[in-house]
Amino acid sequence: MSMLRKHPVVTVFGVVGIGFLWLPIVVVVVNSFNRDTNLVRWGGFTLTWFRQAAADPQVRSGVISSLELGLATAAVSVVVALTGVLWWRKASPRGRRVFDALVYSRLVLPEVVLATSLFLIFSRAGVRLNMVTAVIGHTVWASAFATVILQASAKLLSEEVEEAAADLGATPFGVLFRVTLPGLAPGMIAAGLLAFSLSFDDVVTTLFLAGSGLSTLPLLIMGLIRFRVTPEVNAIGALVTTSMIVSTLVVVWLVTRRARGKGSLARGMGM
Amino acid sequence: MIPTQDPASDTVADRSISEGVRVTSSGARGRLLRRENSRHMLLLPTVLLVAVFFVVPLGLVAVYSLGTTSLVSFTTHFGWTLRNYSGLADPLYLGSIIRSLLLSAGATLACAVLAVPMAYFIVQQRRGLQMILLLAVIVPFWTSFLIRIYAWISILQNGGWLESILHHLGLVHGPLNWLYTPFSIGLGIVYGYLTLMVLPVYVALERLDPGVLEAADDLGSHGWNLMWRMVVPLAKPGIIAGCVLVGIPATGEFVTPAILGGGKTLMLGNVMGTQFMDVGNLAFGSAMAMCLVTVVLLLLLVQVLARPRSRP
Amino acid sequence: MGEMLDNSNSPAFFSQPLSRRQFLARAAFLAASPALAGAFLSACGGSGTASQTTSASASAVPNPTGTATLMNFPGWIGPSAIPDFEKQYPGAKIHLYTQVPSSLAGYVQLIKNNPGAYDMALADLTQIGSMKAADVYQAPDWSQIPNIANVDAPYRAAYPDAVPSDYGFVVIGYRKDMVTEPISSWADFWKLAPKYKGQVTLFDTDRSTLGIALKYLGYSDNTTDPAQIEKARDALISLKPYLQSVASVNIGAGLAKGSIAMADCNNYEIALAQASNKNVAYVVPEDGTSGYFEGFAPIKGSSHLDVVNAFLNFTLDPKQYAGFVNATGTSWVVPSAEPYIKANLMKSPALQPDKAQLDRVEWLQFVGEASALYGKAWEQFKAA
Repeated sequence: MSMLRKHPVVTVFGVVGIGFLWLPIVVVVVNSFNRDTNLVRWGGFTLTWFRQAAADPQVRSGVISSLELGLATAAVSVVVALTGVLWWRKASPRGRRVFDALVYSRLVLPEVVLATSLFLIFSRAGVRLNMVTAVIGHTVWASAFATVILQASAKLLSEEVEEAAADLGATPFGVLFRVTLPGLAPGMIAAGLLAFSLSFDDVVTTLFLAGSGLSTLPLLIMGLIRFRVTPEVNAIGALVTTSMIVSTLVVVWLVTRRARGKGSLARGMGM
Repeated sequence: MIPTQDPASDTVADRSISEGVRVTSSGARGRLLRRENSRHMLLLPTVLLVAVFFVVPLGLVAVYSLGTTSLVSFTTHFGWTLRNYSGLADPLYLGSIIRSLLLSAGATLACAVLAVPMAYFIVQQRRGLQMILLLAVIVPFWTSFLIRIYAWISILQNGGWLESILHHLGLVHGPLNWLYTPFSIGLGIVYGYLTLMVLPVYVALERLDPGVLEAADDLGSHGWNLMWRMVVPLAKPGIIAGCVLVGIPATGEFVTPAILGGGKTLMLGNVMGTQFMDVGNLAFGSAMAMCLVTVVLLLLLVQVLARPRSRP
Repeated sequence: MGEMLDNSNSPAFFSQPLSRRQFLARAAFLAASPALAGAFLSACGGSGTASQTTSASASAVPNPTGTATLMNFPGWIGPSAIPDFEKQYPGAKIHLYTQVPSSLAGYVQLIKNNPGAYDMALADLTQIGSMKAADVYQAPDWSQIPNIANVDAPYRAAYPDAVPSDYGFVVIGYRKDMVTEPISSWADFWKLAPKYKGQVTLFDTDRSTLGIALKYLGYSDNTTDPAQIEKARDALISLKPYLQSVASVNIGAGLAKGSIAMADCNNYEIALAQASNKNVAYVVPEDGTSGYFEGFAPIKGSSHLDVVNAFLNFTLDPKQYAGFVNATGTSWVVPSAEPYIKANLMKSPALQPDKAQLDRVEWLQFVGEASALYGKAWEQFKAA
């Protein structure tokens, strides 16, 4: 591959394209330290906006709400995905097709349709919108993402270790808890992390299902963007962005390290 | 050693062996059936979630779309009427819907045009650099979508970065007026989903026999026009996959036009959401939702039909 | 200084010699119509006349408890109002909800479709009517709101169903250093929009902006004629190519900064903008404009009415009310708050229109069934 001649046009597209992807992130991070509120010139280094964001009670409650929402969504989504995938592994091809339809349909339909349909149901049933309705709304699509990740993880899981364990006298529950689940653990972590990040960052479903009392960080940011455009938003954005990048890289590193470890173990056992 | 079982084709007897259960009498068969039922219980959370919070709500939307909402008392009467759908045919709405679809289609195309050379660029590097470049493409996608779109406000606004750079270069005089336009929304969509287009194209190119690409490159020495005639068809499955991954969410986009549209450029998702949150016309909004669902299903159908015959 | 007025129930209504204020209050009661209310405002000289009223700031219920949710336009409250209230009434909390729709009736649909979620809301005359039609209106418990006496009588007459907070009207705000042509009417606004393409902003509220479009076309802004409303919608759509955005806040800031050259905005935006940039100018259009009276109304079915009534009473305390005016720059309805209102607002002509200007204002009213037409026309304009 490296023998390919590199056309300058392609190189330009490549470099500009990647730069294009990073430009807004760099802009937000740089501006979060920028004293100049017009954000065109560099006005000097300052931590004011960070201090302002940290001191703002709405920001604090927004972060807490988003964390609660994200964790609850991730937990429920992983449980739903896990049970589903455990069934799917041993299902017939027809069963698998039905299962895939159940998953795919939730991924394909626009989120705004899912959100408004749930809004109608809750409104009709007289259920007041709050954290619970928001978690339900998030879980509908987050569990589909989690399922896809777990399916990929399950495909890598060798059946042979499970069968060996069964041969050695383990009960089905024993196989489940000592072989299957640990084997799926990296997938579960990845699925949970994905569900959490998607939920933490979500605007549409939260907008329709959070009700009057729940304000998550994304809703707060949307409000600030549309109504005030304060430099505070840049500080919040910089913090959210860098923490998401760092945590994702850490988890990816952990997961790939484990997977590599497991692979070598299976090979070592000569199966 | 016990032969590997294919779970898709095993029989009750085979499964009993692999699960280490001795087949003795009908009692064991009973236990197997119960185990089978309890295995089906695993499907319950998913089925429950999908049935109660996905299928039923969508059914309710369909029912509401055939009703009428009073905009004075804000109650909905469930008559069976097609008035909401005929209301959509009003030129004002139809124009808005068509513009929205054209915008998504255009943005998806622009995304593809940008992603193919990017993917080709990555594929040309040596392995280690490829990994780094892929990470550079994926990591932005892992950060907050909201923040990334919001950042474009300060870049595109009158008096913002881009304007001052273009002024310095003498390319533009006076206010830029690029923000809060269909252009800014399209840019936001291209930006937000670029990674989803680059990855499948990269995967398609990466799977190719290196010799094919080298042949393309050699031919390309006669002009990169020829190279594109080779590279693009080879990357086609990736491009199609990317267009689906980008095109379908782009059709139902809500956040990007809400932030970059300035309240005067709305896409289908916003117009629909406005009916629920703003106007309160639940029946009409439901008809719009059904319309959006239909468009997405049509796109999926097009994708299925356009798929090149897959190799076995 | 006038004396405290309580003429409305007096049988000897017309037989006594009248002070100017008494005359106004009587006429207000008689007319109870927004057009005449406007005339009274102009006779008063706008929002500036002080009167001697007692202000009791304690509410009748000593210890309201619970959390009441207030649906409000963003930023439309004094910055310390909620913390001060919560300090004075421990056990009572106010939760602020500001993600309000751009359709005025939309506030009411949010309330109707989310029972129990909101306990009180900012509501202008059209919204009060809408709330009543949707059966979510709750009259305030006046016995718990003694501070209502602080509100000048004409405003109480114009806005009787809830606790008044302010009033306003739409003006053409512009930069006199950027817009060199004379502007005096909506006809000029429409004519000049193409020239200032990308620097023109409309206010993001349906009745208000459709209202001025109706005025531009020579109609009433309370019309119930569908054809007229559609023409107004089309007139707004014709402006769309030249618009920078349709915005609810920051219009004054945009004018002061120079990113907006010409805007359809409320007079409160002008008062604050002029304080930071002398080049911000405004005109009350010759072809007429729309105005509003607004305040806060409890919501039917709320289980925190004691907190609501206590808070409504609290907002009318002169110092608290002044905090509200200073934060929003709006025309005010509580004369006893004037000692605490900022000097530049006290002197601002935008907040103290003369009779000629007020005569051009038609105050928005609830139009019953026809309100559906306005909501529809507005979102068609936004979607076009």
